[in-house]
Amino acid sequence: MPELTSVANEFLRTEIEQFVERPDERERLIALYAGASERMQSMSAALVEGEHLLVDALAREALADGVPALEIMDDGLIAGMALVGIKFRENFIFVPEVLACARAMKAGMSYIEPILSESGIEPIATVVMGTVKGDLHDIGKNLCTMMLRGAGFEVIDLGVDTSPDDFIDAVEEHRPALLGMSALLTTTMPNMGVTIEAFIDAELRDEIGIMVGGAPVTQDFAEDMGADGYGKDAVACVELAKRLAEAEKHRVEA
Amino acid sequence: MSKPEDDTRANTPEPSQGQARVPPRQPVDPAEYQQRLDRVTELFESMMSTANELSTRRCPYKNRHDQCTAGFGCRNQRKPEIEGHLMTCAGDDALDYRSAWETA
Repeated sequence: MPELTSVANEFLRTEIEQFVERPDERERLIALYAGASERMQSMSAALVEGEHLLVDALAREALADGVPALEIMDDGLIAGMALVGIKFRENFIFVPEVLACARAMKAGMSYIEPILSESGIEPIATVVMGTVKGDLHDIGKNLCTMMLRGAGFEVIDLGVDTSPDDFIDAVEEHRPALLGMSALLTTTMPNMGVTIEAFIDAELRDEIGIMVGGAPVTQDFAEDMGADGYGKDAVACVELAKRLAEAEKHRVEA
Repeated sequence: MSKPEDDTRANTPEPSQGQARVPPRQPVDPAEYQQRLDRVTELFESMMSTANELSTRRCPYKNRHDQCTAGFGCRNQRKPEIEGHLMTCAGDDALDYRSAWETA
């Protein structure tokens, strides 16, 4: 069984020592990192620190030097995320740090995606995501985006305060299968309905599956305003997206 | 989403002497890739469970340094000690933090 000293990267050694208390998790992480190259350990460390530019550079260089994509995923990105998950569960870091790490992971994955495409692996579907007009609360939408990307969706994130026109422009540009809208406020929640109306007016409503979510949103509200589905949290969002993507695929094929 | 710079490699001419040879990219097996996605989903689902539980007692916009990362106003925001840094969060998490958020 490898010892902590067999992990070459000092930052990772310190992180494991400080933050990973469960013996089984400690053992697993040490074994994982001990078997990883120093370059992958550096990538993992950069991800844990949320350094997306560094992850970006390391992933690009590694691929250019012939490191296999799956090795980068396993030893660099996923290994780093496993450590992030432990730190988050133990309250050493919080949601903003997790989102920064997810951004770093996305930076690394962006170089792997062309290889996936060359290998005949396409995203499950493309999803345009945004918080509706007038709403600046984006944590829920960001967590959904992170989950969707992790599950194999391509996500176009429009950010906060997204007008119906911005949603329509994005859908016309990216031709996604799905659109996800989020709202936290009861005052902005009706803008989901306004956006759906705009899609009807633009004759685009039938071409896209629309899902909605956010603290005040309910299944009844989603149905009343004509959405195709409601997700109560990020995990439900992914399940819903998979179901709607499948339905969209059948609709397009029909 | 994807960065295009490596996409032309298949059509790139052989490097001349002295130029670094770019190694061919190994294709990815779909089943093996799916295993990685499943692992990432498992990790993220566990994180969402933590996030849901945590959100009942701590504002999700507050980072580990008790700074506010929100892009909107909140009564709990205090000017940072160092200019240019994020606002400090003065919320004690004992109350429902959402009532402090700026909603207009």
